[in-house]
Amino acid sequence: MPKLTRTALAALLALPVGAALAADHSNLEEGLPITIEDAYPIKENGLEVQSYFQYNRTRNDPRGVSSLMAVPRLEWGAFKNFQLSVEAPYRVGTASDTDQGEFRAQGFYNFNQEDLVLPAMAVAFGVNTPYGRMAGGTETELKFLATKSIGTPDPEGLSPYSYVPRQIHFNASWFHNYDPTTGREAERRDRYRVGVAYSQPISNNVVLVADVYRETDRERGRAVNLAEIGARYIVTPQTVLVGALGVGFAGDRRQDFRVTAGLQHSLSFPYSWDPPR
Amino acid sequence: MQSTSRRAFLSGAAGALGALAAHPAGIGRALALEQRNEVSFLRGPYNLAFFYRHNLAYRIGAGMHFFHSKQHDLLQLTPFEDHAAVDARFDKEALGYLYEPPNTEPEMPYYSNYVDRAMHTLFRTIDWTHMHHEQTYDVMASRDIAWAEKKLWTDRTVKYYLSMQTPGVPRSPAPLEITMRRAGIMMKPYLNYFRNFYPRDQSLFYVAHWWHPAVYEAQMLSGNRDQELAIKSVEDIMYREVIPDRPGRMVLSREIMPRYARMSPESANIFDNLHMLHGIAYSILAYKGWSVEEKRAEMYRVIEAMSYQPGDEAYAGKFHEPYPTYDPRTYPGWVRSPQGAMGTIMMDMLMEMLPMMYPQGLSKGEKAAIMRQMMMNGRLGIEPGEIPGSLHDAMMRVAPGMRMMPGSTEPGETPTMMVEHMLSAWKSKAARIPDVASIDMTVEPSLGPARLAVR
Repeated sequence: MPKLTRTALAALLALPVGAALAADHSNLEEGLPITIEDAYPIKENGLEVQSYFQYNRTRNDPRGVSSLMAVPRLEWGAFKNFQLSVEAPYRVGTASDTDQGEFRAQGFYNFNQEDLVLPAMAVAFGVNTPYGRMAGGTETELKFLATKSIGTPDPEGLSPYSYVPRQIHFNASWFHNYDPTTGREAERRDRYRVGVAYSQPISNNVVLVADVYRETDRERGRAVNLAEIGARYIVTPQTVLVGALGVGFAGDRRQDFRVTAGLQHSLSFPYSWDPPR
Repeated sequence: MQSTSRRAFLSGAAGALGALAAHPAGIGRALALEQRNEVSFLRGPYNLAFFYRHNLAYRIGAGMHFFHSKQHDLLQLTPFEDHAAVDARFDKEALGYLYEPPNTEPEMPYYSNYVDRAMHTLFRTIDWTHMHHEQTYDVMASRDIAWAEKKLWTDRTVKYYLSMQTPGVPRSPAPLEITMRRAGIMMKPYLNYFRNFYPRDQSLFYVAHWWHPAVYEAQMLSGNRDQELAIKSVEDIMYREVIPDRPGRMVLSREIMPRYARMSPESANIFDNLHMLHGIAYSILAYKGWSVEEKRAEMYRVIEAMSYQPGDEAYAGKFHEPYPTYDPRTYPGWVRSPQGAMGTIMMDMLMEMLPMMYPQGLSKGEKAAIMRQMMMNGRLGIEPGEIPGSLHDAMMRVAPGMRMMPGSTEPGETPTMMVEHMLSAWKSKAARIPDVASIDMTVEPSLGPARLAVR
C-alpha cells in the first residue's frame, strides 16, 4: 500500500462514524488549525475524534521540500477540568522528517476559569515516542497554557458581536529527549516551544484564530518559526471544520509555509443503557 | 541571526506572559479562583435528532439563545440611564435573529464574555440546563425511541442532569412554589427591574418562555409520526401571532406543556426554575445600586437557593394544571394575559409575608395599595400610579412601618426567617395537593385538528 494511502487511512480512521453535541468551536485545540491553543480542556465525559492534515514546505533540507502529516487524535474529558488525548501523527513526502511518525499521549489540567483579573491557566504533560525511518528518542513535554480576554471595543453593544470573547493565549513547552540520536543528524536533549495566539468569533459559526510561535527542532540548528492564521467553523452542534495558512520567518526557520485542514467531532457513542421493558 | 531571533522571540513571549498575569489585584484574587467544571452532554442514540428532524425549530431556539446570551453583558455594560434606548435597539437586533436564525446554538459565554468572567457559575448553570433542554427535545424527536419508551429515556436524562454537575448547579425538579420561597427575593431592591425598565426585551423572553414548552407540547400531541406538522404550526403561530402580540407574563410549563409536565414533572419544573433564574439574573444585572462583586454574591445566592436539593423530587408533582388540554397551535387570550400561574405564586408568597412584615396589622386601604403596587410591579413597564423601583420601596411608601430582618435586602443575604416561614406555610398546603396525574404513554397520539383550550 502506498505511504500516502496509509497516511490518509490513518487519519480517516479518526473521522466521525455517526451522529454525535458540543464540538465547541471557540475552544482551541493544538493543530486545529493553529499550533497555540487555549487553556481550556474539553468537558467532562466528552469524547471527541479530531483529525487534521498538515502540509509543510520545508527549506534547506537536502533530502526534499515536501512533508504531509496526518494526525488522528482521540480526546476524552476524563474528569472535570482534565482531558486525556492520544494521537498518532505520521508524515510522508520528500523532506528528511518523513516516513516516520509518533505515538503521543497527553494529560491536560485546567486550574481556573478566567475572571475579570486573572487569566485561565493550565498545565499539560505528554509523552512522544517516535517510530519509522530514523526515528529519534522518546520525549516528554511539559506545557504551561494561559488564556486572557482583552475586553470589548464596543461597550454600547451596537453590534451582535460586541461582547464576544477576544482572547490572547500563551503556550510555553519544554521538551526533554531521554535518548537523543547522535552523529550527523544529532538531536537536542532539551528544546522548547513558545508562542502567543489570538482568537475572536466573527460570526455565530466562525472563530478567527491566529498565532505566532517558535519551536526549536529535534535536529540541532533548526527551528520552526511560524505565523499562522485560520478559522474554526462549526457545521453541526457536534462538528467543527478548521483550516489555516502559515508562513515561516527568521533565518533558522524550517519551513517557508504550511497549510492545515481538519475537523473535530463529538461522539454520541459509546453509551450504555437499555430501557427496562 | 539565529540567536537574535530566538532572543527576540523569548523576550516577546515573556512580555506577553507578564501582561497576562500581572495585575495589582491579581495575587489577592488568586485566592478566589473559580474552576470551570464543565460537563458534556449525555451520549445516546437520540443525540442531534431534533437538530436534524426539526431544523428550523432548532435554529429558532438558537436565535433565542443569541439574545439570551448577549442580554447579560448588555445590561451589565450599558448605563442604566439609557435603558429605554437600549431596550428598543436590542429588541430590533434580537428580532433579526428570530427571523434569520443562526445554524447552531451559541453557549452563553459566546456573546457575553464579561459576565462569563465575572460570574461564570451563572453561565455554567444556564448552559448545563440548556444541555438538558437539548437532550429532552432529542429524546422526543428521535424516531428510534418508541413512544412508550420516551419517559424512560427522559428520566435517564433527568438523572444525568441532576447528578453529573457539581452541587448547586442543576436546577431543582421541585416546582417554583418551593424554589421561589427559598430564593426570598420579593423584598430585594432589584425585583422586576428588567421587566419594568426593559419591557420590550423582557417580552421577547416571554415569547421564548412560550416557545420552548410549546414545542414540547407539539411533540406530545403528535406522537413519533406527525411532529413535523405540529411543530410547523407552532413556528407559524409564533411568527404570525405571538411575536406581534407577545405574552404579558412568564408562562409556566404547567400552562403551556401540560401533557409533557404530566410525563416528566421533574423536567418541566427544571425548565421553569431556569426560566425564572433568567428573569432574576437580568434584574440583578440591570440594577444600578450594586457593584459587580455584589451582584455576583447575590447571583450565586439565588443560584444556590433555587438549585436541586435532596428531597426535592418528592414535591415534583405538586402543582395544578389550569389548562390541561392546551393546544400550542393556538394562542388564546389567557396565554397573552399578564395574569397567570406565576402571578398566583407571587401573590401567595406576599400574603404569607405580610403578617410577618406588618405584625401591627394593615388597614384595608394599605392592603389594597400594596396589592395594587404588587400587580403593577409584576407587569411590563412602569404604569401610571406605579412607584418605580422595587416592591419594597413601593410598600414602604404606601404602607410605612414594615419590619424586615436587618441586612436581608443586602447582596448575598437571605431573609432567613421569612424564607423558613414561607416554606413551612407552603409545605403545609402541599400536603393537601395531590400529585399531578401521570400521562399514559402506552398509547401513541396522532395529530388532530387544533382546538382552543378554555378553563
